[in-house]
Amino acid sequence: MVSDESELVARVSEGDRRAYADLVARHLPAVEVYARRFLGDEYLAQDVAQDVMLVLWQRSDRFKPEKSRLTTWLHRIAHNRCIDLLRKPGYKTLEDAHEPAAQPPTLQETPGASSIDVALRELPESQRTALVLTYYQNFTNREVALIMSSSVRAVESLLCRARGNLKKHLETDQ
Amino acid sequence: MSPERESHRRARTLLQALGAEQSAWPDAERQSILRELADSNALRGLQTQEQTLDEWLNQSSVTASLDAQAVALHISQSHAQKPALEVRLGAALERIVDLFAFGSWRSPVAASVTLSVGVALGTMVYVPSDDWSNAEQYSFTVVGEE
Repeated sequence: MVSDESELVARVSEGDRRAYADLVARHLPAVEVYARRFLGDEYLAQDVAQDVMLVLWQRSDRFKPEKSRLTTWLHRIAHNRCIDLLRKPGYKTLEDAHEPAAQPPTLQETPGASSIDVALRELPESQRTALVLTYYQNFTNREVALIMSSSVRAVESLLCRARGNLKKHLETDQ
Repeated sequence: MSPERESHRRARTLLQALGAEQSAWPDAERQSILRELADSNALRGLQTQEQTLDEWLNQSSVTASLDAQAVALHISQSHAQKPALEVRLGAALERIVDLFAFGSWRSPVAASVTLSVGVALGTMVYVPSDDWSNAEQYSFTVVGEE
């Protein structure tokens, strides 16, 4: 799979559209879901996911297969894009922006959101990132550390705290 | 800390970090965690708690909505690829070489480029003294006193 993907990436850097479409089909859904869990906004998540796929098209030469899997590289780009968005002054999700200012929406009011998605949004950013990457995106702790520019021990600590906070949330819900 | 205690503590940390599902644990540490679980009621209780949390986490309903084929088509048709830095530098060098390969004006241009580089380097390297007038006054003073 990895060498197969490295070959596909090499073909993408030569302008092969079919190889690119293959890689997008493999990785776009995971990147979009990650961004959506991170940002809590469908439209911004779509923007981030498309940005990441644009980097794959334009800058595939930057991917170093000897250093990481392609999915790790793409998630790292997505993670950095999400962080940039969150730290932008005046950052607001579109869902927030559409609500009247006098009554800011609670996360519980987001249509279609399950209680776990609401609880995830309430976690601190770094805890949420570590948990989403490990639990939902199935990365190893080492890969999560690479994506977050952190250490394996720090990731484990973030995961313990994230799950601890979710347990408290679950207890109060019940 | 004794190795047994350390192993117990490690198993607890991994359960709390990664949950109850064995497949989520690192391959290298799975057997050790299973041994600790077999020996400890407290760890088995923790595993049950973590299992409840895992089940809740599995209820997440976030799904992807973009059409991958359409995105791939749109991006690859509407955006040019950006070649790697080495490729761009190579192309730029080739253009410079081509520029100097033909034409009678290449000697004056080459000379003026060399002169400009020399002047620029000289300006950067040569640092004039801050104030030469003081040095001059001092030397006159010494001569006068003599």
